[in-house]
Amino acid sequence: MLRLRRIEIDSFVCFDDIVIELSTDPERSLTVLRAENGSGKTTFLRALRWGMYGERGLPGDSSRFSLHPAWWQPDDDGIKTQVTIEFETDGSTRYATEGKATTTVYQLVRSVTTIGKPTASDDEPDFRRINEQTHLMVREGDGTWEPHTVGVGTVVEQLLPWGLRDFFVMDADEAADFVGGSENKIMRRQDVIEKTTSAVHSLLGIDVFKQASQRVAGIARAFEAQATKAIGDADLDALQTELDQLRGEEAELTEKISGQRAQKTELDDRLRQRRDDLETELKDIGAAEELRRRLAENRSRFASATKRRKAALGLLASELESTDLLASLVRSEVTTAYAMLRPLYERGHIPLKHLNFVRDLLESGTCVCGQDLTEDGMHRRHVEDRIAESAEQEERANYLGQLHDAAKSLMDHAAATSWDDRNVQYADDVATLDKELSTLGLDKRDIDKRLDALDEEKIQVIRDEIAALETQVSNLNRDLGLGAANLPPLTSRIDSLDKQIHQRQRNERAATDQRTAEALAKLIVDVLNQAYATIQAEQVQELSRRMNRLFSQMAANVSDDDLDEIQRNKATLKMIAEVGLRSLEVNPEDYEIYALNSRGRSMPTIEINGASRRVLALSFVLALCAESRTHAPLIADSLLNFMSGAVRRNTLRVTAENSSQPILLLTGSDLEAPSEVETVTQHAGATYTLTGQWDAIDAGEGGDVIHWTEQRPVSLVCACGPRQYCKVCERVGQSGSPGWTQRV
Amino acid sequence: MVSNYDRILAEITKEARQLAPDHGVDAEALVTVAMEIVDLEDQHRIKSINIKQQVEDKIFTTAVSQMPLQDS
Repeated sequence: MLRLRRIEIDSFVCFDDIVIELSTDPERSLTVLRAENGSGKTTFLRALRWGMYGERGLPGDSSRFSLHPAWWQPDDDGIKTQVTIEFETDGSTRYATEGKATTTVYQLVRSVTTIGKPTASDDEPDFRRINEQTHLMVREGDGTWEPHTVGVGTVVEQLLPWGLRDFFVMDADEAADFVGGSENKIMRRQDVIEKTTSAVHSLLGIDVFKQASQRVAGIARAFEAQATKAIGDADLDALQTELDQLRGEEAELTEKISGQRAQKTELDDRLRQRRDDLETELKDIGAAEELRRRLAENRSRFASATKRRKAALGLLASELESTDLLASLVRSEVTTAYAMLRPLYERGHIPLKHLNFVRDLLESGTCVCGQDLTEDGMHRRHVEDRIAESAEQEERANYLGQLHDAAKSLMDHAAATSWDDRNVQYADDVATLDKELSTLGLDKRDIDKRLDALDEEKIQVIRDEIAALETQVSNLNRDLGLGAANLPPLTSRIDSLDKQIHQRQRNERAATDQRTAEALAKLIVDVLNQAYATIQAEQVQELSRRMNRLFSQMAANVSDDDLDEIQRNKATLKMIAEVGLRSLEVNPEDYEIYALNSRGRSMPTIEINGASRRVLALSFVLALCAESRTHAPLIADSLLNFMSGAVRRNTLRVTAENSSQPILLLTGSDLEAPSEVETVTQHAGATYTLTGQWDAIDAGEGGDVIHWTEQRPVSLVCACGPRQYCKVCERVGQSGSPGWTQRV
Repeated sequence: MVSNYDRILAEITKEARQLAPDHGVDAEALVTVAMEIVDLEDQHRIKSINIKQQVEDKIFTTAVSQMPLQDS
């Protein structure tokens, strides 16, 4: 389901900025845009097509088509054109009849900028378009617009495919292509057939159906080929026999290896245990080595201590021979003697030094008093006598003086030396060394005792056992290595055969699956072909009958007066007794619209007048939409051209009643009769009037629009319906005319 | 979903119910796979999809799950 909601056109040919809100009321689904010829109906249709399809939606050579405003003079600044189309779906595509419960609203915005372009000739367009942009937005629950994840082209193609553009967005002239072209356009029959067939195939899903059937048939063949290929040529039994034999060898070898591994495990356990034992013993060995080391150290220290004790004893002995020993021993007595002699010494009584002085005077021959002491002098003898008398005293005094000096020397010596301290120190050293030697002796005895307790033989036994076990393990490892070396090739070959057999089994299963799929594919082809045949035969007939009914409704009560004068030389609606769709004998999958006269004779469409062709084409379009349950807008321009009277009324009514969203671009003359107005009033949920303002540019020629409000060639839009006028659209003669009302 | 869906579904359902029993296939499963294929074909008209693979997968999956093994 597709329903247009709103179309906004900015700067597109004659539209400055118009907004058309389309009717979305299912009960009044018709939207009418009334416009006199040249007021923008066709431009509106083109704007809509451009909005949906871009450049390819423009007629003829699109590069020459001026979609920019007519009043714009090409320049470098350019002008931006934009068309915004808001539409809603029920979550389905054009093809769906069962949409989601909630509708989704989209906004398609297409814009382009036209700029001036230097031209080499008058034939060349003086503009070019740049920066075309397209955005597809989807309305979120909170009313905001978010970019849609699917591309614009895909969505538009799903909703209104390009191949059906004339079907849903039709210029009546183009719609007539289904019946051989319009009055001014003669089409080749083959082109007409192709266009009609394309629409039928597309809307009835026949083309998709056919493609699906062909594709599945091809896939069925592919399944068949894959099944054949999957079987292959390998001899499964031979492979299985070899595999069984190899598996036996593998089992034997595996068992042997398993036994060896168990044996090895046991040996490993024993080896581990003995190594633990050895380690324990080796800890004792370590202890012994430590003891031996300590013993050696003990001996060394003992020797050192003995040596140091000897040295200390030497020092102690030498001290006994020292003067310091004498001073130390007689210190008390010397002190006493010194105390007695000291006063004599200080008083100069000892020693007697003045006699020597006197002798020196005698030697010099002169006394201190100046008397002559020479040989011959009296005084000399006297002096010599006195010296003789004092000699003994002198000797005693000098002896005491020496004694004083000796006592003092001994005292000084005793005071100056530390014989006692040294003696004590040396004695202490000797005592310490004696103690150390004693300790070392005890240690030695302890070490010797512990060394004697070690069991070297036991360690050697363990070592021998370990060596034997290691030899066994080594031999077992060698055997295991040989077994392990033999096993991989065997396993590899087994794996290879196993894979081959599994692959073979998979292939067989795959072949079975492929055959199953092939059978299903063929069944699907049968279903599709049968259904396809029914649709092709029965539904096209139903379509044909529906088309005839609609045509009859539109042609009801028609008279020749209802047709245009210039078409009187052609077959009229009255002459057409039956219309429909038929397949061609040469190719039953091709269809064309036919018309029969009352005698059942086929009437070439080219011989049918324009109005009748439009009715015929419209009946085809409406019938095909109804038959295929296609819910899409039908936008038709100039649909009622060349029609009048009953056919115009009928066509308007049938279209309004049989299209899910008819959007008709009509002229004022299409809506003159009260019945036509009534039809629009009854079915239209929205009406607009387009009013061209370009006559104002050349007021001299004038037009019948009364209110010129623009100085540019633009078309204005107002909400006036049939037989309504306002200050925008009022034309000469409307005011005061019967049936016309002014819209406020 | 393909245009004319209702009619296509009706016709495929009719044919499937008629043909499926002879092939040991569930008719509804046959309808489903056939309609999915038609829909894929329709999608393929407007956008690029690996339709062959997808159709093949659908048929294969339906076949191995719905149909009895065929004798070779």
